[in-house]
Amino acid sequence: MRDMLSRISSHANVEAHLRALRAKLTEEAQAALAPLFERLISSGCELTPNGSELIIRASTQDGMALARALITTEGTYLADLFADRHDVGPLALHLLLGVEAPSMWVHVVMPAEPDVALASLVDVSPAMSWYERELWEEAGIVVSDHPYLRRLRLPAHWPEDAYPVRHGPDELLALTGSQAEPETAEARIPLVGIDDEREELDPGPEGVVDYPLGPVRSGVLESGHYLIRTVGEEIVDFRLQLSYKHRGIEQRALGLGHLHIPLVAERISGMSGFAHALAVCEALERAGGVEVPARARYLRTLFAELERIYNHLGYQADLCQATGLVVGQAQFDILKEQVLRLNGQLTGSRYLFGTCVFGGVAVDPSSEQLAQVRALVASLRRKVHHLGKMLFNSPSHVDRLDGTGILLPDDARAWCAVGPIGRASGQDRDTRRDHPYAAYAELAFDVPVLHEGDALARARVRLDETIQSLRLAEQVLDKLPSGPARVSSAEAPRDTSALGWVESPRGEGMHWLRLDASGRIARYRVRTASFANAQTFPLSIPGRNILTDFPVIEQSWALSYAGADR
Amino acid sequence: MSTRLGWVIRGLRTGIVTTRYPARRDPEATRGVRTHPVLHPDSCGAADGCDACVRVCLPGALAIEASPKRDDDAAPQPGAALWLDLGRCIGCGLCAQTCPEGAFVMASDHELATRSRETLRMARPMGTSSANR
Repeated sequence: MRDMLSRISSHANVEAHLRALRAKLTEEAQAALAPLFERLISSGCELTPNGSELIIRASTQDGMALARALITTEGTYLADLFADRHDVGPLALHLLLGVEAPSMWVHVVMPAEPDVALASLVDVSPAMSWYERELWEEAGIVVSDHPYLRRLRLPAHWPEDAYPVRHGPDELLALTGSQAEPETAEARIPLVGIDDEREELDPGPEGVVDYPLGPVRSGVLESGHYLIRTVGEEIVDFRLQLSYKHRGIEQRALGLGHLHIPLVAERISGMSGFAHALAVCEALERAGGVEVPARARYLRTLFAELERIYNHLGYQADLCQATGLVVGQAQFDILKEQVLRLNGQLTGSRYLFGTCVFGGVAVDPSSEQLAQVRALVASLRRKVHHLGKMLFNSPSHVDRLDGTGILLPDDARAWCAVGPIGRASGQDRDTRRDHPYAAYAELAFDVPVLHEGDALARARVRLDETIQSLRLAEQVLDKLPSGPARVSSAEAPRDTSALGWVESPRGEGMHWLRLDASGRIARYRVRTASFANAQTFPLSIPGRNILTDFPVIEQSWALSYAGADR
Repeated sequence: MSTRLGWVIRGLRTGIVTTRYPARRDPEATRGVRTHPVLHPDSCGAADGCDACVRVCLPGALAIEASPKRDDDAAPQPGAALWLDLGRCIGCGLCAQTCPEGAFVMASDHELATRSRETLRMARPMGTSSANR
């Protein structure tokens, strides 16, 4: 009886969500999609228990029509697009959209055939470009009318017919020959092949100078790999090349159980280790219906905020280094180091590795340690406020940031920029507030949003976020419930799939995983914030910037290339 | 000044310029940090056929063998001691969490630099099982 009741109520919920979704569409689209929505209301849709994710199963044609209509709608944005072999057809296509008011993830699942071309959606959403390229290189799904269908992350020597998503690990190994043999791989590369896969610029006229930059270089940031074209001092074109840090993390996760997958997720991007482990643990817990103890939810929030704090402090330090403000760099680096040391003392790892586990957190800080956290948070609040004031009153620093590397709010919306980058360009989105996880629903915080979109706005947003994070940490310490920090025993989920999301220091991270009948990972998909933002990064460079602005712009974005490449 | 001169001379003589704590040691920097597991052989159940830690080790850093594996083709020789390959250990602490006897503690010793990969693999047998001791 209770089962039936809950089914009826969940059906009513699904209907309400679908109607809300339909109401967002333009009248034209509503009329065109009316029969589809009628069909969906009767069957083909489900809502996850807490109503956060609406899963729509549809035919490829219906799904793509829905995607086309939703992507262009105000208040929805592209969160992910990927393929899986399983379920509805030879391949399943998963399209994830973030929807605002009511906040939910719309997850469209549709069948796909490797040999049937899919119509590109780049014409309605430029952000689709990289996702479709990945779809093509990983699953062999041909995307017709894509303006630049080339490899994105796989190395040049990767065989043409080996698709990580389509082939099992053994099959893949047989196709690629070896797990890692760089020297023999090199011998196999036809030079033409390399050139074909690299981001390239046509030879320019006289006076045009092209700088290949990275991936191995000196400087403040990770190993970005670029091609910069200049005329005189001005940058006129800019290309970004991924793949240098591609480690096949999603493949590495295959076959792992719930104990190990957070360890792999942590290594996607070391500076966001806790955030990614948290997303994957929440996905597993959602899949298994595991209720995490309240203390664990609060401690997860605390660690996630400590991670954001040290990231944002390090960000200001690196930005000072880029503008040559050595004093500012030293001051912010000192604060960052204090947080890292605190992390080490609390969890055993300065970067919080191994802290987030399935069912809770691995460590439960003593009251003495929590007092230490409180003391540091209080002192950071004073210092960050003071230093921030001095920083943004330093003309040598501010002049380099003001009006530099502008990402216009319209571009940020069209290209689905996330995190502090998006928020500095007018995108009022924060996963912590819009799709609360851990203990965020029970805590108060503001989401700073600016509209200028330049390096200065990105720096200011990050500084304001640091203060909000300190505020969150204080609230966690005030409200921290007692009790266990980890479920004592929890059955590992089996034969199911789930979505996990997180606001990592660099923005929204999406994780999706499917588990087989023995509870092992059968498909793991990660879309990091840096992946979404790296695609947008080149927009902010050509035009009004000169070559010496480049280090400042690059640092103001602070992308994680490891995160983008995975 | 004299120490600096000392480095120069040593560097010229040995070709190695790495030096330990050029300014001063800072124990605060790594206080409480978890590095690698240390085994208390007395409580280890390996002799009774327990291999819980080996099975839980994601990077395959732990092995119960008479001698450590030299390459992947060689079959490991059956149980005598528990070995740790520090070149593989990621310090996650799962072994310590999993061990039914609580035989592991996580060390905070972070001075792990050696001159060769082999030293990381071989020089740290973690204890012998009771049958062999």
